[in-house]
Amino acid sequence: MTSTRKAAANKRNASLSTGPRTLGGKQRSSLNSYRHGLATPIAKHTSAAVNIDRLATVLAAYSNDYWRIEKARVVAESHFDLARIRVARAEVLWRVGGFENCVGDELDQALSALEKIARYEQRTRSKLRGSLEAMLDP
Amino acid sequence: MANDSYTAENMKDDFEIPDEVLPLVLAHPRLLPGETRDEFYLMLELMFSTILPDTELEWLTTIDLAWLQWEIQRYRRWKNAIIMSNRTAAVESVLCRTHEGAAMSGAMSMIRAESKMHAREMSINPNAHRDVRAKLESHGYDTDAINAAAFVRSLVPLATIEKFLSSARHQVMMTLREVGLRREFERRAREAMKRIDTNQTPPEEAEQTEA
Repeated sequence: MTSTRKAAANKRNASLSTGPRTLGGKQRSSLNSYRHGLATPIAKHTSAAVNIDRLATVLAAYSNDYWRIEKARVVAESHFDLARIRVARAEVLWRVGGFENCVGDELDQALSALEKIARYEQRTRSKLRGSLEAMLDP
Repeated sequence: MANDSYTAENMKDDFEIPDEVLPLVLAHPRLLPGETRDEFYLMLELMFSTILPDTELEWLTTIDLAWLQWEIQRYRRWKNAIIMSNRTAAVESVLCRTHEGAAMSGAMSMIRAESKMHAREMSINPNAHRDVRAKLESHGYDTDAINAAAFVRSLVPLATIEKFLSSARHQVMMTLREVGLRREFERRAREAMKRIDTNQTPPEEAEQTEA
């Protein structure tokens, strides 16, 4: 069994390492697990949300029909999401040095990252297709 | 145009791009070495002038199509680059194996460095090291054999890129079909509405009534 003295020392030591304390440190560590940002819904990005709203309204032809607006919103979101996916993909290719460095571990890592991104793209495209079909249905 | 470079701003003037779609057109592409912005916007312009989108949905579809095409070109270039890189690696490996001093102990690091240098020089200048090339051929490694070795080395990454490529091609086909269907739907819908307005009957029905 742990002695009281040891437990107190553990408690004291643990209180010394409770993560970043300054605002800068907290901001930096909040990006620790950041990979490509594609898991975050696009509508959560303030700049994209405004554009998505505008596009969705036009796609729904200023309708008041709830379902039409919802489908239009999915179509608009998907298109902005696809744009974000393209940026993430270009980023991977750029990091590997374009087409200059095409052998070794860097290439394997790039291909694996691209495969992960492709999964996000497939998901977005299937969402887009479903909503488009529903929108085009008379 | 004042200069040769074609930009999204030029495009905005040339085509009536809906304001809501503009952010997607104006988003500058992240270019890779060897790519130019002009090239991208010229391709986009070609797409716009060929497809002539008129609704927001068609504009979105056209932009998507242009990007898919751009990515297909990228994958093709990447495949070529991978084969070329692996060709250099294959030449290097063959040079190591066929080197006179390969059996000598302790000489391997020097042989590897020399082979690497020769392989790199030969990839840049096809006429370099004719003697080395002749030596390779005397060991049975002609151009075809080296190409085959490079292809075998590239097999795994090429298969992955081919998967991306075929997925992008599939998306292009689907998108083209969508554009076609929508246009056709719109045309038929317009025709139907026009007929309703003028109270016309379809030609087939008119013939039957006359008979």
